[in-house]
Amino acid sequence: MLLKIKNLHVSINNTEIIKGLNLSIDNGEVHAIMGPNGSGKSTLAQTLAGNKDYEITNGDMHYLDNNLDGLDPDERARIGIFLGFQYPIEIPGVTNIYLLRAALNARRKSMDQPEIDSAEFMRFVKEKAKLMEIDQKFLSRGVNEGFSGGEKKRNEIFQMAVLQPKLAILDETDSGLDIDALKIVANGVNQQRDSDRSFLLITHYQRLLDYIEPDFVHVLSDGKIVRSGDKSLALELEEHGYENSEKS
Amino acid sequence: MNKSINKVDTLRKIWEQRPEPENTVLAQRQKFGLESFIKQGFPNKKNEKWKYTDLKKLEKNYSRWLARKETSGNTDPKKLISLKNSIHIAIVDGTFRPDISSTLPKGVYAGSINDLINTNPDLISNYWGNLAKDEDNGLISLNSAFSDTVVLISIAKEITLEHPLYLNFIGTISESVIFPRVLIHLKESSKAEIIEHYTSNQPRIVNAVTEINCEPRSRLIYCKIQQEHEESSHTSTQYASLDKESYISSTSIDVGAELSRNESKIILRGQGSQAKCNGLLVANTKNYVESRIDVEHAAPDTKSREKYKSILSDQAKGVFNGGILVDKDGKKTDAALVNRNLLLSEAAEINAKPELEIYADDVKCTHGSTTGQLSEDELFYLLTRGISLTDSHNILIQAFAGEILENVGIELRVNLRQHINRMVGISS
Repeated sequence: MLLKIKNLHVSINNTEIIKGLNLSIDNGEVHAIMGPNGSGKSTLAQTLAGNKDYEITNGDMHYLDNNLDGLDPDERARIGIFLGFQYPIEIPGVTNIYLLRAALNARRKSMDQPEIDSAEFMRFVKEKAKLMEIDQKFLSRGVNEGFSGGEKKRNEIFQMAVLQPKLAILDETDSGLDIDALKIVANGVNQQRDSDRSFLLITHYQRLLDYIEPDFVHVLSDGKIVRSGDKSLALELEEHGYENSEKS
Repeated sequence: MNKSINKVDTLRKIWEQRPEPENTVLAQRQKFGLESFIKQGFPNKKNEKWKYTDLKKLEKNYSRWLARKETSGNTDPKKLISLKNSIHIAIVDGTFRPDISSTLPKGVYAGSINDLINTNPDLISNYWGNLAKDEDNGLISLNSAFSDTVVLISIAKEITLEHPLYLNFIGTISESVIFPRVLIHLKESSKAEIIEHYTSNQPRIVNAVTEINCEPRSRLIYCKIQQEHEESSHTSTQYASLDKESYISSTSIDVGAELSRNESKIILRGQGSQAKCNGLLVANTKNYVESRIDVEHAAPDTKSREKYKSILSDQAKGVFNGGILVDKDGKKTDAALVNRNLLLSEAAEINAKPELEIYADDVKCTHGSTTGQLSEDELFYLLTRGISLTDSHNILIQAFAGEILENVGIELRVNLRQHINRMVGISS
C-alpha cells in the first residue's frame, strides 16, 4: 500500500474538521474525493502535505514505510508526495526555473545523487513545458507572478510533471478553469498516469472526472468518507447532489 | 550642547590650520562652507529629518580623525574591484589615481579640487552648490568647507557615453576622512551611466555630496553603492534636477558601515520628466542604516516610481523615509512609492514612513509600506517542493533583495549578492 490513512482526526484552531477518516491508496491508482464546501477536502490535502497549522489529534497516516506525522513538509516532498495547490501563490523574485532546479536538486541530494546536469535539466524542463503548453518565457518569470488563475493551475501540473512524484494530491485543480484549460490540465495528468504513480484528486465538481477517469470515487462529508465507489458514483452525485448521497 | 560647540570649534581650528587654496574663488567658497557649518553645527535630533540619526560618535570621530596625518594605506588598490567594459576612475583615500584609472573621456575630470579649479575655472560658479545648498544642513556645509576630491562629469549635447563611468572610492587608511563631491551635468539629449561605489577595508568617515543636473531629453542611469567597512560612517546626499522630458534611474544600495545615512532629493522640474528610484538597505549586528528619498513633482506630466526595501538582522536599526511632493504645477503627476521591510530577528527594528503631499488636481499617486518576516505561505510552498527550510529561507531573502539588485550591472550584482549573503548568514 502506498498510502494508508487510519481514523484521522484533524483540527485547526481547535475546531475539528476531519473526524475519523480512513483511506487507502495503492500504487498506480487514481482516487477522487468529492464533497461539498467545508467537508474537509482541502484540510486533508494540507494535512498530507504537512502544513503545521493543521493539528492531528488522533489516527495516523502511513506512506510507504513512513509515519507521515513525524516528517516535515520538505521531507514528505522528497519521498514523493506532491501537493498541487488550490490557490497557488506568487513568489516574485524566484523564477520558475530556479524553483524547479532547487526542488530537483534537493531530492537528488537526499538520495546522495549529484546535482542535475544543466543541459539535461533544460531539455527535460522544456519537454514538460511543451506538454503543458507553457510558453518558455514563463520559465524565467517569478513563480506564478502575474499568471492568470488558469496559468497558475497549469503551472502546478507542470511542476508535477518535472518533479515526478509517487503520490500527487491535486486540490481543486479544476476550479476556475475554462474548458480549454481543463483539457490541458487533464491531459497533463493522464500523460503522467503510471503504474508507479498515484493520484488523489480533490474536486467539487464531477466535470474534471469527464476527462480524468478515476479508479475510485469517495464522498467526503463532515470530515468523514461516507461513501466509496467507482466512477459511476461521481455521475450519481452529479444528478442527485451531495444532500442525498449518504442515504441512497 | 557645550560638547557639540566644542567639536565645531575643534573642526574650525583644524580647518584654519590647513593650507589655504591659492585660488581665491575656491578659498572664499570653502570659507563660506565653514561659516555655514559654524552657524548650523552638526544636525541634531530636534530637526525632524534627523530625529533618528545619532551623530554623537561621528562628531567625536570627525574631530579626532581629521587631525590625523597618515597618508599611506595598507592595501594595494590594484587588487581591488574593477569592472569590465567601464571607464574606471580610481579614487584611493581621497586621491585620484590616474595610474590605475582609465583614460578619461571628454568632459570628465577627476582630481583634487585645487587641481580641478585650474582646469575648470567655472567649477564653483557653474556647478558647485546649485542644488545641494550649504544651508540645508551642517554636513553639506562641512563637505564644502573641507572639499578635497571632485569628479566633474559634463556630457556634451547629444553625446552618448558608450561605457559606464565607474567611480571607485576606495578606502585603505584607518581613521581617515574624505569629502567627495560629484558634479554631474548632462546637456541636452545626452546619455550616460554613472556608478559611485564606496568600499573600505578600514574604518573611515565619508561625507559625500552629489549634484546632478539633467537638461532636456537627457537620460542618466545612476547607481550609488555604499559598501564601507563595518566601523565606518557614511553620510551622503544626492540632489538631482530634471528638465523637460529627461529621465533618471537612480539606485541606492547601502550595505555597509556602522552609521549609514543617505538622502536623495529629485526635482522633476521639466514637463514630462521621469524618475525611477530604487533602494536597498541591509544592516546587521548593531549597525544603523537610514535612507531618505524625496521626489518633487514641480511640472505637469511628470512620473516617478520609488521602490525601497530593507533587510535587517541581529540588533540592526533602519529608517526609511520616502516622500512624494506634488506642487501646484504638477498636473497629471503619476507617482507610486513602495516600501518593503524584512526583519530577520526579533531585535531588529525599522522606522518606515512614506509621505504624500499633493497640491495639484488630476494626479495619480499611490504609496504603501509593509514590514514583516518572511511569508509563511511562500515558505510552505517551497517546502512542499522538497526544498529544505534553510534553503527556502535563503531563496526568499535573496529574491527579496534581488528585485532591487536587478538594477545593478552583473559584476557588481554578483559581488553584492555574496556580500549580502554573508551579512545575513547565508553560506553560499
